[in-house]
Amino acid sequence: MPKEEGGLGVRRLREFNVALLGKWCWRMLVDKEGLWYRVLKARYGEVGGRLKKGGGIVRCGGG
Amino acid sequence: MFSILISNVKIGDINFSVVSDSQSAFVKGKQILYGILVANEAVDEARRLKKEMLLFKVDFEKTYDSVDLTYLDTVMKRMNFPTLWRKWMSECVGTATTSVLVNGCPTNEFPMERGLRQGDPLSLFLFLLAAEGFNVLMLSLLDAGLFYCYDVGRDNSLILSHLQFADDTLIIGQKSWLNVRSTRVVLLILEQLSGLKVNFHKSMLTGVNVTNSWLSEVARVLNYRVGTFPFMYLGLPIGGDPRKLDFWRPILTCIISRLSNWKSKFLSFGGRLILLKYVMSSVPVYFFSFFKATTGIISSIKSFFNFFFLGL
Repeated sequence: MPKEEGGLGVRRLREFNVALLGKWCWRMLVDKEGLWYRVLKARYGEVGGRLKKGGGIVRCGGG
Repeated sequence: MFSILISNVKIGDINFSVVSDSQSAFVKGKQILYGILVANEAVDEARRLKKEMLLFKVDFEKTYDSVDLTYLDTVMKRMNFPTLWRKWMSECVGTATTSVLVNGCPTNEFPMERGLRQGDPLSLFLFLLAAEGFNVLMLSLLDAGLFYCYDVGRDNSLILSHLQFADDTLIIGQKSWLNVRSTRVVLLILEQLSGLKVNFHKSMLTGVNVTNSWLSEVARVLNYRVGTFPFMYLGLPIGGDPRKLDFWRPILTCIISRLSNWKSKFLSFGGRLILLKYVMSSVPVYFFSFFKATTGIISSIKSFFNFFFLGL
């Protein structure tokens, strides 16, 4: 079910999912004060202001 | 009206520095997902590093209705809110009177001693202050060495003892009898102080790398309920595996129950389209904003949609 070019404008689920998860990348870069970020930092470590990739479990590639 | 004014003008702009990090509700710059993220990461880490962890999900009875107003005032006083402000607040919250219909005729009006009114835009924020009392109690337990909190990270650099989202509270600790007892004591003290009563039957105890027999012994002694992973916290599962089909079962059942057969038969083409676009595709949004869906899930949701839409 594609978009406006002849489609019906129903949301694409896969892309929508990825977009919502992408917001986490943004949050990781912007909001570094929060408890949630400190938990991630304690768990995965931080290099140059970004989270390290921890065994492939970091959501959306660690910012 | 007065309270709406105050909450719009003042609280919306206030930097909520009095509310601790463990709370993730209603404050600008905090999101419900943050609490879920912390809980999920902690559980996942405990599993991977084979640490022992005890989780206690607390359910309060009739939360907003049972907050003691003098307690609230004391909390605000301790947080150094000015006297004028506290007077405003008690004016907003404490001056309501109620009368009850007995056999059809109303009784004399009487003032309320406790309870924030639901629907009042101010009560959310006041409740946060009340919940802060729990945070203070937990911190003082930690200070006194009466609670073994859970340490995150290989070098145990961050301590985690509890998460709060308004009245949804999750206590996180190591496996020990001390923790169980202190939690119980804290909750009893909180009940005495603030009137927030814990519903022990609805509250739940779970553990990572803790034997079931130990858990059930604790549960039996203290009248808790033993839960299993994944359990729901703030509407999302904690400690589940999003790669499994079972994990997405709630979403799928929700979609199926809404796409009943008659709708497909009797709604028009346009009606079905609107239902699909605006109702059905919003159902999984909350899950999607935290978990990555597998291709299988997406395609099965899609096939439900197709099936419904084409009216097969």
